[in-house]
Amino acid sequence: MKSYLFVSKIRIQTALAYRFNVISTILIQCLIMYAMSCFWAAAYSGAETVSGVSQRDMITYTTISVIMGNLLTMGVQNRIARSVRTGSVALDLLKPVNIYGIYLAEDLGDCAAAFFQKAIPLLLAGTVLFGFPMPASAVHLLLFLFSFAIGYLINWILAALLGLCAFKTLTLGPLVNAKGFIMKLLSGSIFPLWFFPAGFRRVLEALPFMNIYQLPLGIYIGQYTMDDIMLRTALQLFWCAALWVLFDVLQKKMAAAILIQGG
Amino acid sequence: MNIIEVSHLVKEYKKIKKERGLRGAVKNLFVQNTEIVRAVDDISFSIEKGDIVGYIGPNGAGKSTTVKMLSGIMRPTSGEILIDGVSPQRDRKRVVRNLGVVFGQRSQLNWDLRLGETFELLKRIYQIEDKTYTENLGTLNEIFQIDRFLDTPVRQLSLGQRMRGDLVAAMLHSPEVLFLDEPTIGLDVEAKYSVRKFIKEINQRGKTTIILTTHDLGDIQELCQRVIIINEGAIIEDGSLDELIDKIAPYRHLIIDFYHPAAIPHPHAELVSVSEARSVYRFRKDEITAARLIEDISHTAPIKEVGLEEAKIDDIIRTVYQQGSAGKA
Ligand SMILES: Nc1ncnc2c1ncn2[C@@H]1O[C@H](COP(=O)(O)OP(=O)(O)OP(=O)(O)O)[C@@H](O)[C@H]1O
Ligand SMILES: [Mg+2]
Repeated sequence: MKSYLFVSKIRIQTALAYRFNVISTILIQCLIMYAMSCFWAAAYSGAETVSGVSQRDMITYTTISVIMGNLLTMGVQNRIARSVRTGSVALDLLKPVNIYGIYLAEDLGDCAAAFFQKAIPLLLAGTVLFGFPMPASAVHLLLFLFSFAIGYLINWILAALLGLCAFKTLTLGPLVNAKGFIMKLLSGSIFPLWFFPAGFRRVLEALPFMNIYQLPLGIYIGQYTMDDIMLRTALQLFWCAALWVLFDVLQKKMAAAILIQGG
Repeated sequence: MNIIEVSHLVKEYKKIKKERGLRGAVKNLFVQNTEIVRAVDDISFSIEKGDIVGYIGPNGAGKSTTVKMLSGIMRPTSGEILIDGVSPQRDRKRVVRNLGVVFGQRSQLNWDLRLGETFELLKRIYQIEDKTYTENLGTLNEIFQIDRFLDTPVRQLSLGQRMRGDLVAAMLHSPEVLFLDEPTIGLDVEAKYSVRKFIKEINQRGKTTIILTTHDLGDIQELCQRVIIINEGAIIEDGSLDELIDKIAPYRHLIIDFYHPAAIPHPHAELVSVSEARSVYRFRKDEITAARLIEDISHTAPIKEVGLEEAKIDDIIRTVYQQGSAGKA
């Protein structure tokens, strides 16, 4: 356990050393946040609520969504692809540790660094631009944090599943970007699912993606009743467990096929 | 006791044959010609605890492939490996805990960290006790003087410094078995010398078993009690270096300069050339010693100067490689 914590610590340390990257990201993210709020203002065009959500809540939704986006960046897929292509996966496998544990620790370290470097500045910027994005209540805030954590794991496992492909194909190429784009769209990070037509929405609710953004965000702004939250969180936990089992099975299968390039 | 047991080890790589050109590229989309390459072809050997074994062979012979399988990071196509009784394929983590591996071509040190921080990380990964860690680092430092660049970021280290760092990193958890894949590649004479010294010392101090892959036969001559030579995936020689030399090049040459021109025959040595006062004798080590030969000859004519020539190790190994290829063809 100590070794995984130390890996996270090193990652935080390394990430904090790169400042320029941070400043440019924050500026761009602020711009996106502002553009989205303009979009919602135009879309609402004076209406009190749309689908039971006020414009104020929608701006909170957007602000928190942008912040979440900075915390949910997953390195694992590219990490695996790069290690396989260069053969450095050999060095990971030579250690008496679970390599996926190490990859998760690295991503969590990056996430922690992003919390201080990006999430907090963006929260401040959002507060200056639109006022503080208030959660529906303190209970909702706690439930949001829990839901976000499970969403993080689901997002990570999905990225790791994609990464496993690299053991076979050696590269992921455009797959990473394609996956990122699809996820953004289907997870409710830009447009909440309640704005989609009923049929399409039902399909999206049956997929795991909405558990990453839509569910925690919906909880945050108080869009769901308590009963609803319990049910959906149970479903979210189920998805997390199911994906984990799938990942574990595939990862064991893949272990036999790992080739070490170079040498 | 044998600490390493390898039996009937085979590794096949699937190579996708790509056709060239635009037409080839289009064709590749629909049909893939795969070709199977046997990089390691039915290899068996066992190694005793505390031995240093040289594992050599020409480029592409399958050395690195073998090392990758021995260390559990790649699965064999078939065959069995046991390191201290445990199969690295079945229980990678357990085997790797007691294993140090250095790939000379690639560093296990983290580019972004200082050397010391990498060691700190390894300390946690291998769960090394504080006391043992300090002791080990102290001992390794004695051999290698790494404390001068402990605080240098790894990316600023020279090749030789990095290699030392890598060797220390591989030894921090005092493993019983060490695999070194070309640990002296690209090093200057001084660095090579200290790497060899290091290998010798850790072998003697901790009874560490070492498999060494190298193209520098000086490494082999200095370090290895035993050499395994492979070519095209199969073992072609396995034994001590002296035995090998005796087998491939049993002859030595004795060069004698007399005070006056002379040509003196000897029953156990062949006189291969005579020019003026210099004679060259060829003899078998097992038939007569050089000292005896000189003594016999000096009874007949006074000797001014003597020189002894042994077959060069490089030539011997080249002969072995060539024979190996010829035997296969
Ligand atoms: N990932 C791979 N895919 C396909 N073929 C490979 C792969 N790795 C190695 N080979 C092939 O297997 C054979 C043995 O390679 P290996 O790296 O074990 O050689 P080696 O003995 O270490 O050579 P060298 O002295 O050049 O390092 C070579 O013919 C090589 O082309
Ligand atoms: Mg090699």
